[in-house]
Amino acid sequence: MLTYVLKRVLFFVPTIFAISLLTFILMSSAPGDPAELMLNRAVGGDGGQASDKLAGDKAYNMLRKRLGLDLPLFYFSFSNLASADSLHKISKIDHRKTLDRLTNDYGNWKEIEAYYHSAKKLELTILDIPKDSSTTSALITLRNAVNNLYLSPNDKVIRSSFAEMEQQVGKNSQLAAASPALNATVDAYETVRQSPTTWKNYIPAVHLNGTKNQYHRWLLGDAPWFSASDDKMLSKGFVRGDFGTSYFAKRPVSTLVWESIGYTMTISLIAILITYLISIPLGVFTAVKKGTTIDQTLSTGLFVLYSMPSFWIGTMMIIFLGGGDFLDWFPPTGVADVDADDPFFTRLSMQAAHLTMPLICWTYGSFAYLSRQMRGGMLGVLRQDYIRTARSKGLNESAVVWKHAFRNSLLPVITIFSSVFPAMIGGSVVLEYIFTIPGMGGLGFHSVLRRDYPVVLTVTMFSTILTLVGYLISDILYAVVDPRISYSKK
Amino acid sequence: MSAVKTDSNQSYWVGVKRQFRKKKVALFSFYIACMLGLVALLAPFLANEKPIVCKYEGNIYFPVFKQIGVDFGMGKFPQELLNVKWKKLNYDFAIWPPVPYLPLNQDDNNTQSVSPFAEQNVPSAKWKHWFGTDELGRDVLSGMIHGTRIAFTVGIVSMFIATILGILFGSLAGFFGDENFRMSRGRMWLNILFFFIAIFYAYGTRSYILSDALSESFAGFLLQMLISIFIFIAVMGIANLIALPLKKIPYLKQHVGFPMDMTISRSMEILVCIPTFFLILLVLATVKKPNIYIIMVIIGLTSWTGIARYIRAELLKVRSLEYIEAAQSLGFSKARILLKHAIPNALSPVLIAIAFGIASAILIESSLSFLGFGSGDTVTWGALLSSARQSSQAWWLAIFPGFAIFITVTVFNLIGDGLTDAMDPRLKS
Amino acid sequence: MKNLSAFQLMVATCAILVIFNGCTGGSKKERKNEVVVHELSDTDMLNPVNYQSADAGYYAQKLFSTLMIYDPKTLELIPYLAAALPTVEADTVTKITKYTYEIREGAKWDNGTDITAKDAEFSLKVYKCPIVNNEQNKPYFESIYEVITYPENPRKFSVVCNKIYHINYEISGDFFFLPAYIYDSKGLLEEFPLKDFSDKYDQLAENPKVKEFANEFNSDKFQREKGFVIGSGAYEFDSWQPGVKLVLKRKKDWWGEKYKGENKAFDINVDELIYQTINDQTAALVALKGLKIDAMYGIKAKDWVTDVTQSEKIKEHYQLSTPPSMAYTYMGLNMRNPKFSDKNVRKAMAHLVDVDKIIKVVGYGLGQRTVGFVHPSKKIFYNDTIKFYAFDVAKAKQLLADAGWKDSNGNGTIDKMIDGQLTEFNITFTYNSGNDARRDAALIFKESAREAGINVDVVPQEWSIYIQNQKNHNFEMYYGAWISSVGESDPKQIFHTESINGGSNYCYFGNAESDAVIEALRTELDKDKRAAHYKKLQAIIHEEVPYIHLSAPQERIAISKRFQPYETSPLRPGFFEETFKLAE
Repeated sequence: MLTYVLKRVLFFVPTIFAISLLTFILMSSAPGDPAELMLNRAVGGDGGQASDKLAGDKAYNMLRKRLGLDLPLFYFSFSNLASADSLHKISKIDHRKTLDRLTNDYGNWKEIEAYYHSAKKLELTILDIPKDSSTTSALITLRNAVNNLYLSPNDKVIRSSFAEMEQQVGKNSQLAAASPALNATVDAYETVRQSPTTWKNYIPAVHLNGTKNQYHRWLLGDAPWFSASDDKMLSKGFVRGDFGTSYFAKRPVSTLVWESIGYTMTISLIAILITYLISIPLGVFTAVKKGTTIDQTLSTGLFVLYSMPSFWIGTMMIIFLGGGDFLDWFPPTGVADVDADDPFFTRLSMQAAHLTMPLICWTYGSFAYLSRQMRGGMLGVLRQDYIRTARSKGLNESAVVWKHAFRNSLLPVITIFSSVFPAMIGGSVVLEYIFTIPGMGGLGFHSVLRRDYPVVLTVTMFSTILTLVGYLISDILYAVVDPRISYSKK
Repeated sequence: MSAVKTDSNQSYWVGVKRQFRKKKVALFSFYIACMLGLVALLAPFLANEKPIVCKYEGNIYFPVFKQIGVDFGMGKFPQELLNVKWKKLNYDFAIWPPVPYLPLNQDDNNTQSVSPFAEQNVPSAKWKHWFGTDELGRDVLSGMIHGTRIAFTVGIVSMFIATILGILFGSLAGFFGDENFRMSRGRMWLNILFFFIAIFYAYGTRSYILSDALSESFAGFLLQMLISIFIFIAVMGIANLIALPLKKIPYLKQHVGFPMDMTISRSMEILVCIPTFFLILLVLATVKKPNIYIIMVIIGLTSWTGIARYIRAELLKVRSLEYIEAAQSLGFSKARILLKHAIPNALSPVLIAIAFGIASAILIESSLSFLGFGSGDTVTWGALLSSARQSSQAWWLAIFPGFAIFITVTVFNLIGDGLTDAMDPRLKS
Repeated sequence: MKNLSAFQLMVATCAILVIFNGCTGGSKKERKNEVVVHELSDTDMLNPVNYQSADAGYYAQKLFSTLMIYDPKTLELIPYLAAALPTVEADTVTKITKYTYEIREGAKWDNGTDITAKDAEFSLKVYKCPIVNNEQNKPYFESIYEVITYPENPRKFSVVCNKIYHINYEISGDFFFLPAYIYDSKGLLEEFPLKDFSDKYDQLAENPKVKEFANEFNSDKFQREKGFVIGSGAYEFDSWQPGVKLVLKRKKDWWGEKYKGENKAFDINVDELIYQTINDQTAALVALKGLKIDAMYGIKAKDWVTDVTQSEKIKEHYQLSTPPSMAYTYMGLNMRNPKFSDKNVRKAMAHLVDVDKIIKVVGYGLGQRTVGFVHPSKKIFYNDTIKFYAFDVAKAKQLLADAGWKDSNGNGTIDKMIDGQLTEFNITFTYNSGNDARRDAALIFKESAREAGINVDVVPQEWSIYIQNQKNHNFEMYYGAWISSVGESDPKQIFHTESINGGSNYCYFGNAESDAVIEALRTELDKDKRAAHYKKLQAIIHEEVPYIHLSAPQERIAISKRFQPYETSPLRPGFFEETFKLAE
């Protein structure tokens, strides 16, 4: 058994590694660009002059560099021979998409890269052309047409953009400056079209990226290991306890997690306690009274509870018990705003009042599931021979149930207990939102929406480790409960 | 604890049926579930903006049937009935469905949530909104009826997917364990290598084809997916063909056990650890038009691990039972043992998990709607309920869908519970 | 039976909870001279330069001071830290503009030193400093080039801009003054002149001193630690329980007390400002009814009409008001989409949107229909000669038919041959997920479009994707809203063709004419002449229909009657809680 446990714990390492990598890949393929989101002013307005394109681009590139988003994803990438080894250097996510698509269609990255650079040059040339009454409208067309090149891999669109530009440049002598750049771009595109190497798409290839990659930066960090470094831009990496800085809050992720995990843990632990305290006696009770009207009423009642969406019950409780138009029994939020100088019992009682409604919502649903399990386990045990023996010896019913049957029937319930770990840290997005509890559920949810990758990764890692521990415990308990299950060789 | 005898499979099911019949509550729930299923099936006839039968300008039409035909690409509406306001037409006679509204129809005279008991601005009792209206003047009862359809589809489709995957992987892991899936060393290595190559050709090189298809239509995506799966199987087939001549090399010929249980269990762990919500958001973000079917598929794809774990555990238990060993010693093939003996035995906890799963899928959909990640123009129970949360005055928006979710979920739970008792051999008296 | 004892335990627990609760319910604290303001979500930080959330900006106004602020009533700029509004010198040849200010006498930091021109320069350096986490508003200060100080008067200085731009007047006085002794105690930025932050930006980014300063400035302590969030405003940061509440306390002897009564900036009456977070609107309303909140803004229109204004309890304890808010909502059309490239088709769309119904049903009547991007309350800029597009399905059908859209295959959806392909008129209408009001407006459009044979899919998109799709012009039609500044807005960001790639001109609007109007408007320093340009631009936009303009919504505010009657303002968030006066 011990070797089995050791083996499993050793297997944690590759699993954690695989999950962190998978999360990384998922995040990078998720649409939505964190740098773009950060630059988008929270109060979207028309007051600024951000349209100064080059300044905007500069800010964007600086930000990407600071976040490390300009690095390749991993030590190597497994793709095909055609795919771009330097695609990650293109900063704009939408440009990358277009180029990737072109690569897929034509398979010649070198030529495509040349085409992209000539388009960039063309854009700069157009931006440089002085604006006056005769060129304004032509310049608008030119700018839009160049922009189309960036956004569309579609041959038709590209060709019509070229045609539009050629028409304008041909018409107006002041635009002649753009002519060489335009011709170069058209030529570059023709080269892309004429020398397709799509066969390269079908040959698998591995590109090596070295240690300058996002994953390395996150896991091991880019700060030196054995000498102190003052440069705070460098990351120490996950394994050295540096979880990074949140993009949105701009604070260390560890602080964010630390702040919210307290609330979640407190509520979860109390909720688990209450659930077990109520469900286990209920399960035993219904098992003993199996088949009676009480049993059936209780079972049906528990399922009724299970079926009610907790977000709805939560809202109803707030409306009716939260001191609005109806009863003023409990405060409508989950966390008390206590003053630190209040006496302990005042603080405790205030917090208790605040937690009552959230706790009810957290627990009522699990009564049905847990007490069912307990009932099932109890019924199984009660039919065992040794219970019959105990009964025949004349022990009273209560002693039989509690002294002999109870302990043995607890095991399936303990098995469930292991799956409680991840739930403990995961919290509940909806309930936390309704009761304004700044816990882990909300933190994770908002981080995903804001593409706040460092926070998402840390939350995922925390829940991963707890899930793995929970699974291990449950597997060990399987073996303990039922000796017929064995994990070791015969 | 005694195992069910293998030769009495038939009588076992008869027994289960009898046991189930005895459970009044479960049986009653089963009937209600059937009724709800009927409502879901007949939704267009129960609530529709078009009459079932009508005579218009001398011709008799069956607009509801016609619409179903048009939806399947058969037939067209005549020009005079295209995009008309059906309620404004002058019919010679018309038979209307019991609820003469579609869920999205807006009754401009009854906007801003009219209570069922308040005075409604309707021409006659036939047009009354029996369950009230919502903010836009949409009929709640109609939304409920069509919502039944969606709830049932969500529950059944997602659990169908979860069950298939769960049974497949759970039984592979549980039956073979880490030792019993044996093949020659050469074949195993080839299979592992070709697994990656197969992924590359089936999905890597086709990623744009697949994502294009997904943003076009769901059916097209399924077709492309099938082609990909076919390519995958073909490549794996090649691997196994190559493996045949390799058998001549003694080192590669040696049989080794493939750690099936470990591979699948670890993969399941990885899947479980990735937050479901993240996955759902990601997929919804990738598709151009998120719809309810995609949500169903994701719920299905993420909830199979529970079933798989259950089956695996049961099979680990069953695997060591005497009769399986007996069957093996009688010379039955592994596949036969797997199919005939092990799976039916492990089926009871799975059926229970499915019943519970249908209930929880409906709850997940309503939570998603609550957070605003549902579909924009589909009326579901969850969407109704979340709109009710924002206007506490409009109790009818909360009570009816809340009650519907509650009834459906309870009914499936009670069926599951009834099955637990009926199928558990230990509990037979 | 033993399990009974478990039940007893449970009952006892419940009883204890109820008793605990009884205690708290009974002993209500006596209310001090404090205001409890509701916030929907926690703010991100109290760093006045790096913040992103709107409410952080409101808090910064209380903790720090700017040269000028807007008067909540007249909406004109009034001097705050400056003794008077700036004098402007513009050189039309070199394009250099100078805004000269003098800081009020007696304006002091908390350590007793005077606020001087040096502080203005230091603060601007911070805003323009590389690596400082304020990428989102660096471009805003792009045109500020240097600060000229005058040896004879340490309180006098000029902000120099290297462009003529009508908004510069506001920008030159719109930055928070930061005390260098707190934010740069080592004097790291001292040696660099402000010019370098424009001219040698890239070099500075590599400079170790700049790096050290910026990293320090970005750190947690300047975001939320007591003693490190210090400014020259009337309040100081007291405590912050993240996700729960934030408390600001009035300074004991603030320099501004002696100017009290001079203008709105110095009208401070409240001792303690408490910002209470309640995420959920429904729960917040319950708290409002329970008198746990003194001031609440952004109440949903639906709640406002069906609940708040109906509740006797609220009417008894709160003054309710609906000031206009400086924002407008619209439906954007992608002008480069083949379906919408024809102007008449866009006009047909405008005729298919029942704007009045949307305002009535979705906005519960709390909004004013607008013709364009200028708020109707800005009378001199608003073009009131433009006529709204009437809701008229027949006219829309006619316009569509004229543009060649007919139902040729009899499937109920109109179609047209575009580039040799039969295209059905199916539109995808996007909105940001979770915003039910936008969804409902889209559904109203969907129903009327169906009558015209147009099939509309209403699709929610997660915020980050919704934003990105707009930037990449990857949409057909969407529901959007802009918040305008209280003063004048610069239409360049949204309507100039240079903003198509990189700015906010998502709909591909614009031609040479509109660009010329926008440019003329930006460099015209005479208000009346500028008004003519504004009106012209509105007329062009109305004719081209990149946007179907909907309404300028009204804010919904409840303020406790514990305070004297208060006049709300179009300035966001609609009230200034520090100026509340306790009722007798």
